[in-house]
Amino acid sequence: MNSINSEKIDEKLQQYEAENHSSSSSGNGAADDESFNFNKAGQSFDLSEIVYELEQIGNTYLEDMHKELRFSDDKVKLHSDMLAFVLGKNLSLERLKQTPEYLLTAQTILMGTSFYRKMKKLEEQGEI
Amino acid sequence: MKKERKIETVTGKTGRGKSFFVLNYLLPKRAKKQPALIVDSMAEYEKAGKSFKDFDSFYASIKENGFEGVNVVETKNEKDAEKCFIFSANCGVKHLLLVEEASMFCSPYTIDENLNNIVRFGRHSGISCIFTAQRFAQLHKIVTSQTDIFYSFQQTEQNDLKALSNYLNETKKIKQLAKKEFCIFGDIPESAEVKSGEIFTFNSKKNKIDRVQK
Repeated sequence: MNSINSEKIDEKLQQYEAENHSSSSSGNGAADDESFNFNKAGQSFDLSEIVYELEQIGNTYLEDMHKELRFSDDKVKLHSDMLAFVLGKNLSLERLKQTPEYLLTAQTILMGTSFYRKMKKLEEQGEI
Repeated sequence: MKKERKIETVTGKTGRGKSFFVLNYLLPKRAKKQPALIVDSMAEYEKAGKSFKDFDSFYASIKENGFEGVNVVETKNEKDAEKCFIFSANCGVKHLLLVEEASMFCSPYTIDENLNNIVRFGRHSGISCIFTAQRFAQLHKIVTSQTDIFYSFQQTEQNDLKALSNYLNETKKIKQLAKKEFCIFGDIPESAEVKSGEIFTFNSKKNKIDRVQK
């Protein structure tokens, strides 16, 4: 019989649960921003289109930074990390349909869209 | 002492025969001499072994009976999948980890922390991996760069072909693959019967792969 290292697994699982709990109970910063409150704005949206567009935007945006804007590696890394937040593992449409955190994920996507707009604005103003 | 392990990645558009090939050919071969954990997000592998409805029931069973055979965990939510990666990265037993639709847990820009550790350092624990994904371009570079052998079924999207071109000279052939055909490439020893870039189909009756002459 293959004996697993259950002590180590238990420790890591506990750590994971603790981190998950603290992140889910730490409040939702996105909800504080008006731009994420679609109910308030009374708009409807097609989630699949937003997902697709954001993926395309993410790819194009990072490529642009490398090739055209000639950003330093550090800056590209920073943007990449930030985009990773919205283009991350939650973004698969199949996954969205399955996950109970559907709404939370939708908010994440909207936050990403808002983030992109803000970045573009800053870019236009020459601040980045 | 470093243990032998292999990372294999199977990509291709939906409905081209990817899961059938993995389920009936690749998985039985790789899980022959070691226990396996399948992270089954799309409920495609429930008949491949002992099936569990979530991570907790899998872990309870393993604690009682040991880590043996093929174990399929139906990961209905991310937490289950992430716990599977924690288990895999820390169990200390040489095994096979099969991740169905790996792009759910990584993107070109991000990858689950434990999955990252498994890919990068799993060699020391002897963790072999099989990743499947519909699109090559959606996989993180850590996954593609550490993959030993790729099996690509048809891909037609430009970004996927571009990403594939980092590993294969003639991506045109990937675009032209017929249903059930796949191209094998990657770090294949020269002495092997299969040559990198060759095209095959899986012959389920004879349980072998047949070379396709193009």
